[in-house]
Amino acid sequence: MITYKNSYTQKIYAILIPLIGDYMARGVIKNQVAKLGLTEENVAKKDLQNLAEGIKKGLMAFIGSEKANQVASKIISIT
Amino acid sequence: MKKTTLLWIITGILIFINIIFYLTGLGGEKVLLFVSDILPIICSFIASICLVIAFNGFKEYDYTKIAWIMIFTGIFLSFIAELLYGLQEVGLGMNMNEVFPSIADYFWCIGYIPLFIGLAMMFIGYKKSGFPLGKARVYVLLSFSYLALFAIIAYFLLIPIINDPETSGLQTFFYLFYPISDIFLVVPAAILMYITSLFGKGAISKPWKLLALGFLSFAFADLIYSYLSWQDKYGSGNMIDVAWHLGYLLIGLAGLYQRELVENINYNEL
Repeated sequence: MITYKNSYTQKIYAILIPLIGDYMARGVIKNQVAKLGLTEENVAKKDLQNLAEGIKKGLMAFIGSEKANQVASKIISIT
Repeated sequence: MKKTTLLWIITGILIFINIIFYLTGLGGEKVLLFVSDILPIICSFIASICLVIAFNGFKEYDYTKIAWIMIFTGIFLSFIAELLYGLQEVGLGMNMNEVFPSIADYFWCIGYIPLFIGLAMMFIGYKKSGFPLGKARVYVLLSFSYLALFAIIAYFLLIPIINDPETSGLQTFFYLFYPISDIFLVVPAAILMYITSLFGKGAISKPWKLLALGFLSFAFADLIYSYLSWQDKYGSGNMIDVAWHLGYLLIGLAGLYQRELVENINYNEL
């Protein structure tokens, strides 16, 4: 388990952990923020849409588009 | 009781019955023949039903749903094959070694196509997602293990079958088809197994883990079957049947866990 200083990253991590486990949650966050030219510690509210989009594509293989959309919406709604 | 718990119990009972009858020969040859033909029909039927439950859990027709439909189609064709095999052997009293390849073999063979497509769709979909694929050295190790497995199978099974003058062209095709198809099926199954290991205890990995275990179980049984059948040593009550039955039930469990997973995600209600 890891604790991110950035509250958005931490909340995304908390959403993902029960679904994909600790190792993959960290890996997915690392990959997705890197794709946007960010780091785990400088994620802002405006980045959530793009982050959620990337995570949704990954989750689709396992849970289908409907449920992946729900997870993405949950990420976008993080405050 | 959860459907998954119920199926684990059913799996335990069916495998227990399978082992007891095969080890003791309880009831004699006729009962053994009946049990060895009825169990795969029951197991493949259960797996087919569970896979219907799995793909019905997806509301939208995306590639995930189609992949599960493909796996269902492959298993359902196997169910038809098991049914035809049982009818021929028990119902019509045919000697299955003499009529090889029977009509059932055609259904088993065709069933490989949707199974392979389904697994490939899952893997390609995952690869495109940008999620971590794991360590490159594991893929190198998997490739070497695969090549070694292929070399062993080719040396001990494929080449002797090709060179056997007593085996007809059609028989040779079917004897070769099973092990070669399994070799191809083992690749996506092993990769899925590795990917799911990366997920640790994440809820998402359970269906894929069971699916991969099911296919590996099939591959193990098919390879031994091809060898024994070619040597005319395969008959009712052979313990390798347990691997097929277990394979079907594990795939069925994968389907039920998939449905459970999809139902448990409901962020709309939060």
